[in-house]
Amino acid sequence: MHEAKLMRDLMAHITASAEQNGGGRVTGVHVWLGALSHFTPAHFVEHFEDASAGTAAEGAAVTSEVSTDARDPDALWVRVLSITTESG
Amino acid sequence: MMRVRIIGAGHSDRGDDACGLVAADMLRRVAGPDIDVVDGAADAAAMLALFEDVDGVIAVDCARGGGTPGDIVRLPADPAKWPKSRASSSHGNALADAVALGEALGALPPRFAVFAVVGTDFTLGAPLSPAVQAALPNLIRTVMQEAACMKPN
Amino acid sequence: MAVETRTIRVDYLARVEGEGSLYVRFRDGALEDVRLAIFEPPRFFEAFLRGRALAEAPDITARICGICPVAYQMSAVHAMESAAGIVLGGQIRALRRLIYCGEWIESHVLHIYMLHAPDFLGLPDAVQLARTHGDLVRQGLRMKKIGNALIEAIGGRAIHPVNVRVGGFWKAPAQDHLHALLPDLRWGRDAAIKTLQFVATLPTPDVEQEYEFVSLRHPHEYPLNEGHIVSSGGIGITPQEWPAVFEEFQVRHSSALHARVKARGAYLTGPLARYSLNFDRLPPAIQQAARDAGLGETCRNPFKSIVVRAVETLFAFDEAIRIIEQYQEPTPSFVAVEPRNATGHAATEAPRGLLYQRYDIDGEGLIAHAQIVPPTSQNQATIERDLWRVAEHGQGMVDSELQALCEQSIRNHDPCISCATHFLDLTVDRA
Repeated sequence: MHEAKLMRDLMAHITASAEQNGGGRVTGVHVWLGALSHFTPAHFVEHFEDASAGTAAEGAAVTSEVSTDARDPDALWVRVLSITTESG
Repeated sequence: MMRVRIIGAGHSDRGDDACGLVAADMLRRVAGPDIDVVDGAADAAAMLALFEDVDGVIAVDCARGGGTPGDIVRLPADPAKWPKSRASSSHGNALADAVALGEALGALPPRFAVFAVVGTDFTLGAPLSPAVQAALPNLIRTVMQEAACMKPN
Repeated sequence: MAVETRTIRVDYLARVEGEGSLYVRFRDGALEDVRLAIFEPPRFFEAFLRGRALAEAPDITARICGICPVAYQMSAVHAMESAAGIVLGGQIRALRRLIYCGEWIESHVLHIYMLHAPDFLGLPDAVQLARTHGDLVRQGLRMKKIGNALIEAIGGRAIHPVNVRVGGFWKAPAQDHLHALLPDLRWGRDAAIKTLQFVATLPTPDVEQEYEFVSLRHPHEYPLNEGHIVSSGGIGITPQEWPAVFEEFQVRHSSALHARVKARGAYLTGPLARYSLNFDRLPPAIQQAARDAGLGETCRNPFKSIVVRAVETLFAFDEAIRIIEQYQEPTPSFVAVEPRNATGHAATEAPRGLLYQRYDIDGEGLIAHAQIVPPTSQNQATIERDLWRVAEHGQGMVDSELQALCEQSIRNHDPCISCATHFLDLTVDRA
């Protein structure tokens, strides 16, 4: 599924970012959903839960900003704005 | 007298995929009255109809891959060797399918050339990328040179 | 050691790509899941239409699909006229039916010859069909060209017709211009009979599916632009009532919206539905041709859709000839449409099935909201159900064989995506 591919891509980036920043568990992910990204927040969370199972981001809380601007140049995209990690 | 038709293939709302249509608009202004410049069709059957009644066809399209964005490539005669050309057309590649179909039916014109610009952004609603935009003048020159070769007077 | 929490700025972009994918999962010898995902350009255009003038809708919606621009235009202009409270009759109405006949011809012929027939003959694509059945393919190409010429004669251009406008046509085609098409159309009608006879010989699996058929139904005519929305499950509503009876919803596995009958579920639009709900509206000679091709008055075998498409192609040629023979140039060629603050709905019969559009128009004539529900999204749940049966049946097949059968099964319903010969990104999960 294309969403699954997208999520795998995002997950790889999220876990790599966590590693680069000292490792640990990812407890939060904050995303921006473009108006034409084909995701609702709930839909994104479902896919995130599937894709994060067994990774350092399993169980992370997802918060999202939903854009309604279809003319935004990034309207078709999902943007990961930040992640929160916990270590120790 | 050789009759030559230039076909601009592509989709107007899918980023760089519009470059064949944009090129056709420019070519209409420079080609003169004896060269027919048309927009391509959406499906292989209608595209094949555009190959009829002429001695030479020059098609202009956008390629995905096959070079660096903005490169102008002359595609080989066999469409099976073309780079994937459409980012998100839901109807396959009308031009490649039409060439394959025309070959199978013996319906290709004697002279045939396809030039493609390597694109990079095929997002719905996006404008031409700077690399493709910058390639247009060169593309127009290349196509007009080819047309001149096909139409010796 | 204390727990350290830190927030890292990432700013990474990704987006859903591609067109169609099919996921099939078997576990312990049983089929567990089938998921079809199709990318839908109309969602982009709905957003693009917001804030545009209502008069721009026919031009913008025509860009959604290069194969069926007329369907998008027809639903758009009828929805705008419904918002304005006007109904057009006479020769403007006839011309709209005529241009739609052109689209049915070119789209159905494309589907029959270029996409579907190779499946039944065990050939990979139309190129191979052209090598083995050259004359047949040439016949199809000529028929399709006539359909395109008809669209061009009325619409000005074949791909993105520019002559269609809210209220009618910018310029009515001259009578002699349309009359000049009659010899080709009469040839096409004969070729359509031959096409029907040919597709009737194609081997089809003997399956019947339980569909709820949904289509337009008109008091006298085989439906194109007008009628109530009816179903084999007892629905009988005006297009205005579409939102009360049907709904779009997001499914977990796909970015696209699907549609369903509220509190009931999947349904099917398109040739099988139109034919089965409107057999009595076909001219008697075409009813007889359908019977001669082995069809009953209804058809629930999705693999027979190619035969039904051929019947509708014959009808479209026949109807086009009838309209042109009675045609007189309408003057004026359009009526002015005064914008008012209202909502307009329309449903017309695209070659692939019912195409519903709804627009909220503000007092200045700008589009405040657009909803476009193409046949592909309405049929997707039903196509998935067909695929369940195919995958159950094909469990023992090797993946390539299963893929071919799945693709044929999807092409039975001609979703927009099906045109690419090997579009399908198939995942068979057996482990």
